[in-house]
Amino acid sequence: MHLPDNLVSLEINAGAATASVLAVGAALWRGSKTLTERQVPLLGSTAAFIFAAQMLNFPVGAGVSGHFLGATLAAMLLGPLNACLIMAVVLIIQCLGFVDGGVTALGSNIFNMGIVGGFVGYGLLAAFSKMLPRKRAVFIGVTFVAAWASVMVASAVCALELVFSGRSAMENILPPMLAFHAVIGLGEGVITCAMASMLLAVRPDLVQAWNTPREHLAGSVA
Amino acid sequence: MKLGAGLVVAGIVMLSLVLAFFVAPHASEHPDGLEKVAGQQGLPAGSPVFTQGPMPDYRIPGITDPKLATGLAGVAGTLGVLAITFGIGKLMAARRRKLQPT
Repeated sequence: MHLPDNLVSLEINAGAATASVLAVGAALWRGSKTLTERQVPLLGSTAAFIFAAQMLNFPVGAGVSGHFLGATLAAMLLGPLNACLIMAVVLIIQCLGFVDGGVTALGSNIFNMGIVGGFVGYGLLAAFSKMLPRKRAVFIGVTFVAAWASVMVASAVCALELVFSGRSAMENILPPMLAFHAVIGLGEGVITCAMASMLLAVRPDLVQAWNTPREHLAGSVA
Repeated sequence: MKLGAGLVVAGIVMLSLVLAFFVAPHASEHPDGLEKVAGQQGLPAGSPVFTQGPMPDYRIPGITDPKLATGLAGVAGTLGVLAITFGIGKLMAARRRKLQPT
């Protein structure tokens, strides 16, 4: 879902870049107050996993492929602001190192895949965790829904950016984007659930969204 | 079964490197959802403003075997992302320690 250069308007790219800079700044500010030494290796390895897993395009039919985004996974492990930071680093490296995603569209890409993906995924995890019993199987099911939905919302935001850039009419672009990403999101759900079940089995204390007291979880989305 | 956090993190890094080196070269070459929809709508592929990068299209230039070129580019990117986020994390944790010595 990496936007190239010259597809989204300058105004939208600039607005999204501003939001992305603010989110990453907030992540650095908050991390400097809350990140423990113990979380640092998890931060690094989660980012490394997301970069590697994003390379694995899987076919979804109709000659289309999709790949993992990872923002819900990062937010589940380290909270939504750290997820923004991780996604920003991954997307900047992809853009500058691998010419994946336009330099001028970097703000929009960080906004769509990092901020929207991470906050939607985490928000749903938090909301469902508050309502449902605290059981591993329930948490893993909720993770699937949150990961799937985060991809759907990110793809809708991406489609709207194209619509508001005057690229196409809403009815031409939003339905196919949502249709393809409804399938791509299943892959997101499977990978996020696989990581959640593995980590809950061997080291549940590393999964922030599982451990945070629920009242706090719901209040800590921002 | 409870494993040490170091072991778990090392496992995640190993898994990432295996995925990047062995699986990424076999990833689907089809356009992704956005590229497909943009193509259907006749939108330009987007003329890149900046086409230079050390490993364009996830291949290390000069390596003739495309699978090896992609696998090594994946490993390089994975290690690069790991080093940068680990470094940022270390700086944040050091700052926190200074603010609230425990």
